[in-house]
Amino acid sequence: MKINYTFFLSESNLRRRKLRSILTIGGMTVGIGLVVFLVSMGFGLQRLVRGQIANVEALTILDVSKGESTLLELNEEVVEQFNTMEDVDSVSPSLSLSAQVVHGDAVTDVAIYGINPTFLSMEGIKLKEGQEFSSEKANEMVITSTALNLVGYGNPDEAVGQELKVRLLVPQKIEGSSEEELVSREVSVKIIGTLEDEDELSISYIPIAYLQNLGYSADYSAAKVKVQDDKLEDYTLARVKVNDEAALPEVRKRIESMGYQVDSVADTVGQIDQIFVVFELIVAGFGAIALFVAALGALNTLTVSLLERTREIGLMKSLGATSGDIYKLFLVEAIIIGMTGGIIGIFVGVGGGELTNFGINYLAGRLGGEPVDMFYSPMIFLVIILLVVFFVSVITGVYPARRAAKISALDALRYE
Amino acid sequence: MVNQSKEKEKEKKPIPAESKGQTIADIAAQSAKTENEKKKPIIEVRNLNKYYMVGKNRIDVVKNINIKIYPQEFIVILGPSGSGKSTLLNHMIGLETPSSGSVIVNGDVISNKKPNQIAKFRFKHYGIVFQRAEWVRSISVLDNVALPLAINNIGKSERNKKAQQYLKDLGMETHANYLPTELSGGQQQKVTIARALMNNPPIIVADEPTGNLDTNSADRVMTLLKNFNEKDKKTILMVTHNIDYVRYASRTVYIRDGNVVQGSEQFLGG
Repeated sequence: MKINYTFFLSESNLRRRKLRSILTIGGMTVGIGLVVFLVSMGFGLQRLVRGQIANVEALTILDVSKGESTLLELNEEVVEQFNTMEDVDSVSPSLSLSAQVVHGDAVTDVAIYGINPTFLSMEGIKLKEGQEFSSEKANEMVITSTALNLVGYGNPDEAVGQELKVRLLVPQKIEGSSEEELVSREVSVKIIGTLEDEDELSISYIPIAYLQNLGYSADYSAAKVKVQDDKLEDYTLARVKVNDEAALPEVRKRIESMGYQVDSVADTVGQIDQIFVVFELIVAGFGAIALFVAALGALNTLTVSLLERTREIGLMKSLGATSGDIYKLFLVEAIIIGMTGGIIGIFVGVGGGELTNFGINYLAGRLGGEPVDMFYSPMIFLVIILLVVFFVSVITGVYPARRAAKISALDALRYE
Repeated sequence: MVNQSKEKEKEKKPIPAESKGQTIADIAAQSAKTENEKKKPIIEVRNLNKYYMVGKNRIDVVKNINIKIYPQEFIVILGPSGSGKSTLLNHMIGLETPSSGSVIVNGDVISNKKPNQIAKFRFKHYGIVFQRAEWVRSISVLDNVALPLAINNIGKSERNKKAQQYLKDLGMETHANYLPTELSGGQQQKVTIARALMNNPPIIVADEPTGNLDTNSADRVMTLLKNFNEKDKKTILMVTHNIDYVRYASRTVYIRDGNVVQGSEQFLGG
C-alpha cells in the first residue's frame, strides 16, 4: 500500500470521527502549547538577564591581565602574539590611571582608561550623546555624565564639543638617574561624547596613543604596572575578541597556558545560563506532564479506533494488505494526531507568549517602563519540540499499530 | 497410467445409459466429470483436517476432506450451520491454516505460505464476497470498490476508472460517492461483488452472500454470480445453507459434521 494512500485512509478515518479527533488533537495542542509557552518564558527571562549583564559582542571577549604575577609582561609583543592566535578577531590593550578633571573652579577625581577606539564597541559602551573618536591619536575623550555633573555641568550633553582640563601624573625621567618620577601635568582634552551612566561612576576614555604621546610608557603607574622594559609599554589589560562565542574556551585555554589571568563576561553569563537551564527543565517538566496526559488520550483514541475497525483490518488483509500496511496505517494515524496537535500547539504557545509580551509592553508603555520581551522562542527550540512531538506520536502509535498488524484476518472478520 | 487409459476408453465408447439403469442426470454428471478430469484443478484440497482445542477437548471441524475444483465451475458448498463449510472455504482462500492436509491453488500449496504471502496470493487469485458486507466505513463506495487495487499499489486514475465501470455494470454508478453504510443490504452486496471483481480474479468466493438479503435481492445476487460464471468464465465457489441455490451450481458439495457427504468427486449439477 502506497504511503499517500495510507495517509488518505488515516485522514478519512479521523474525519469520520470528527469530535473524537478534535478532542484528541486538542489534548496534544494543550500539552505542546504549555511546554512551548513555559519554556519560552524561561528563554525570554534568560535573554533578559543576559542582556542586562552583557551585549552579544561581550560574550566573545576575554579580558587578559597579568593577575598577581610580577614576572609576566603585557606589552605590544604579547598583544601581537594574541593577535596572531587562531580564532582571535582583534586585541585591544588598555591602560588605566587616576586623574582629575577641572572645569572652572570645580575639580573631581576620575578614572581614565587609555583605549583603542575599537575598545568601546568591544566593551559594548554606548554613547548617550556625541560621536566616537576621530582617530587613534586624537586629543579627545568620552566621559560619564556623573563626572561632568561633578565639575558643574547641569546638562552634561551640553559639554560635548567643549574642552576639559585633565590633570595627569605623567612619568618623567629623573635627571642623572635611570629612574622615573611622576610629575603632575595638565592637558586640555576635547569632550566628543557622553556616556550612559547607570552606576554613577566618574570614568573617562581617552585614546591610548594620545596618552603614550604624553609620556605614558612603561611605568606610568608603579602601583599597578611593573616596569620591565625600556622599549615596550606594559598594559594593564588586553581585551581579546574572538571570532565566535564557541571559540572562546579554546582561546582562553591557550592564553591561560601562557600564565595570564583571563576573565570574561561569559563566565557570569555561563553561570546564569546554567541556572536557567535548570529553570527551563523544571517548567518543561510541568509541560511534559500535560503532554503525557495528552499522549495517553491519543493512545486511548487509537486503541478505541483499533477495536472499532477490527473488521476493516480483516477486510483489508483479505484483500491483500500485509501486516506492514496495517501497522503503517495506525502509525500514520498517530503521527497525524500528534503532529497536527503539535504544530497547532507550537502556534498556540508562541502566540500566547507574543500576546503576553504585547500586554506587558503595552502596560510598560503606559506606566513609563522600558519594553521587554518576557517570552522568546528560538527556532532551534521549536524544531526540537517538533521532533519531540514526532517521537511521542510514534511511541503512542506503536502499541495499537503492533496490535492491529498482529491480528489475523479471520479473527478480525469474526470480531463483533 | 492404468486409470488414465481406462478413462480414455470410456471417453471413446458411448455410454449405454438405459441398459445400465442410469438417469439422464447421472449421464450428464458422468460426462462432466470426465471433462473435468481432462482439466487441471484450479483448487485441490487434499486430506484436509482442522480441529480446535477447547480446553482439553478436541473439536474436529473438518475431517479428511478431498475436493478438486476445476476452472469455470460453479460450486455450491451446502450444509447446515456448524457443518464446517465456511471453515473449508476459509482454508481454500488461506484465511485458515489446516491442522493437517493441504490446499493447492493453481499448483501452489497455499497452506505453507506466510500470512503476508497469502494476502498477496489472495489478491491475485480470489475475489471475495462476505456474508456481511464489509467496508472501510470512512471512504466512499467508489473508494471501497477500488480498495483492492489501492492496497496493491495500482494508481488512482486506473483504479477509479475500473471501479466506476464495475459500478456501472451493476447499475450502482449513481451511488459511487455515497458512504457504503448509506446503501440498502442488496445494494451493499452488489457493491461488494463489484469490489470482488476489481482485481479480475479467476475465482470468486462467496460465503453466504445472500444470508442477510431478502428473496428478491438474493435472487439478483445469485443471477449476477451465475452470469460471471457463464459469461466471464469465472470459477465460483459459494457457501450456503439454502438448498434453493443448488440450481445455480454446476456441482454441489454437501458437508455435514465436517465430512463431505456427497459431491467431492461427483457432479450433481442443477
